[in-house]
Order: sequence, then structure tokens, then C-alpha cells
Amino acid sequence: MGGDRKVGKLVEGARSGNVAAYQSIYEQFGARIFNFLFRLLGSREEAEDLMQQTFLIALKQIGTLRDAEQLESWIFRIARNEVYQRFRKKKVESLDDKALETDARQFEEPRLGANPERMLLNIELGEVIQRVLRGLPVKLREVFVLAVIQNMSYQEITKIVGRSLLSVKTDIYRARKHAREELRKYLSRQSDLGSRAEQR
Amino acid sequence: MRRHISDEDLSAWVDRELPSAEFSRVEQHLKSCDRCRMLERELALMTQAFRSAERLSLPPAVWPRIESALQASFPGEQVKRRFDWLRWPQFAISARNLAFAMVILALLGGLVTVFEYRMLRQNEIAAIVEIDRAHTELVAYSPTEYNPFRFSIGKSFESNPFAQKGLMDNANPFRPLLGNR
Repeated sequence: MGGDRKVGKLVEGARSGNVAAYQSIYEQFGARIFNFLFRLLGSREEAEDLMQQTFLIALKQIGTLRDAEQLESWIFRIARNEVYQRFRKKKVESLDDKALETDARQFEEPRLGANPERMLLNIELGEVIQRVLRGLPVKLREVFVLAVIQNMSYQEITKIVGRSLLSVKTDIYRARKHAREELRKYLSRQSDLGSRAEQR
Repeated sequence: MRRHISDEDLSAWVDRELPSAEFSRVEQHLKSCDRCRMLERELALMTQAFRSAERLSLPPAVWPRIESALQASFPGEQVKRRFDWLRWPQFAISARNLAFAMVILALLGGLVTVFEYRMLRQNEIAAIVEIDRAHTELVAYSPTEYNPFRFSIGKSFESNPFAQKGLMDNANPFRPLLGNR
């Protein structure tokens, strides 16, 4: 309740053009939005770029926000739209799963360099996560990031992605299944590399 | 043969998103089913691994860029800075408003005072007129008997301010009515 009142005051301040209120909104929600963007895009630079774009749009259009309590999911929605626009700009013709999957796989493929075995063995958890996420179609990636990494409720996710609760639940399950297969592939590849290294 | 929990429900269970009735059913089932328990454990561990991934902190370079872009898109007065309320023009406007309010208050006060004085004066005149009317009526009723001070003349001469020596004839407004008394 207190938090809602605080957000309400921030929105009120931002509507009257108060830059301190703008900054407080950015500081309060920025980190979560930034992590969401980073996990969807897989690139820090691009996430920073879209972060700026997202907050500029949000702060300029804050007068159109009807319910101050929905501020966070509203900003998430703007961020999500920006991501989709970015993908469209990258010559993705349609947003169906197949096309996005292809795009996701082309997106920032890791450069394995001269010694791929050694590099793969040295991949840390963060990188594994990014690899798994890159393997997911965007439609599944976004709900997976929101539910599993950002720990958001399914109800909140429906507001952001604009799909039904049932569809969100199914997509999260499909994303989990996909992620589990990707992880298994990665782990078996890693154990193969380990045993090959031992044989030498 | 009993049915296993669907993978979809297990996924929602890991996120604590099942309705309470479903939640109890899954909880009971997991106590007795190794296959579902293993799958649930695997999903929970994977979720935990993803949640433990490093959270990036806010990039310091972004806010200044947003702020300058906001300033550029709202030229001039629309973007208010943190201590703008202390700035001179705004404060000067407040002082002017204060002076204006004080002048209005002084005018209102003056009007009220004049009105009250006039009301008092009117009441005073009305009272004098009433006394005069009563006096005229009494004199007309009994020109020889009417004397408001007569009761004190008989008892104590001193109590009648108009009966004092030297004042009786000149200062008593009712004297002409007293006749030879």
C-alpha cells in the first residue's frame, strides 16, 4: 500500500514534468528493466541502448498511463515492444516462432576461436544461461525471463505480454522444456570434451 | 495405474503458481511418486540456477543520456529540476501574490469596519428615536405627573442628579414638565 502510494506520487510528479520524479522512477525500476532487456537481447550495449529508448518513451508518455499502480508492467511492456521493434529492424520478416528462432540462433553466436574445446570448458554459468536463452524463440524467451529469472507472477506476465494466463503458463512450460534440453546438450558436450581431454 | 502430474503443472508448481486445490494434489502426489519428484527436482534446480545468475546493476551512463534527451525534447520550462521552487522568478511571483492577497484583505477589513460603524450608528439613532417617542407619549398622557426622577425626589434629594442645587433648573430636561413641583 505504502509502495503504491509512493509510486502514485512519483507518477504525479513525473506528469508535472519534475525531473527528480523521472529519476526516481528510473532508479526504482531501471535495474529490473535493464536485466530483462539484457536477457532478451544478449548484449549489454544493445540493452543500454534500448533502456534509454524505453525510459524516454515512458517518461514522455507518462501522462497516458491511466493507473499508477500499473507503472512497472507498463514500462516492461514498452521495453518488450522496443525489443520486438529491434528484431524487426534486424530484417526479421515475421514474429512467428520459426523466424524468431532462426534469428535468435544467428544472434551473437559465440566465437569459439582457435581452441573451441578449451573455451567451452571455461564457459561460466552466466554464459551458459545466455546460450540457453539465445536458443529460445523470443516468444518463449520473454516469458521465461520474466517468470524464471525475474521471478514475476504469471498474472503480472499476462499484463506485459498481453496473452492469457493459460497461454503464459503453457509458454513457460515450453520454455522450461526447451531450456532443459539446451542445458542437457551443453552438459553432455562438456562431459565429452572433458573425457577427450583426459584421453589425451 | 495412477496418473503422473503433467509437466506443465509441475512447471507451475515450481513457480508456486498452482491454485490451492491443485497445489495440495501435486504435493500429495510428489510424496509418493519418484518419477514426478525427480522431474520436479530437476526443474527446481534449473530455476534456481537461472535465478542465481548475476544481476546487472544500473548502467551509470544511461541516466545522463536520458536526462539530456528529455531536456532536448521539452525545451525550456517544462522539465523542472529538483530545487526549482527556490529559483527567483517563481519566488518573485509568490511574493507578488502575497502582496496582492494582503491588499485584498486590508480592503475587506476596511469595508467591514465601515459597515459595522454604520450599523452601530443606525442602532444608536434608532434607540434615541425610540426614547424620544416613548417620552413624547408619556408627556402627552400626563404632562404634570410624568417625571422619571420623581420617585427619588421624595426619598432622597441627593439621588436625583438633576435635583442638585443649581442644576435643577438648567440641567433637568424634564423641568418644563414638572411645573411648580
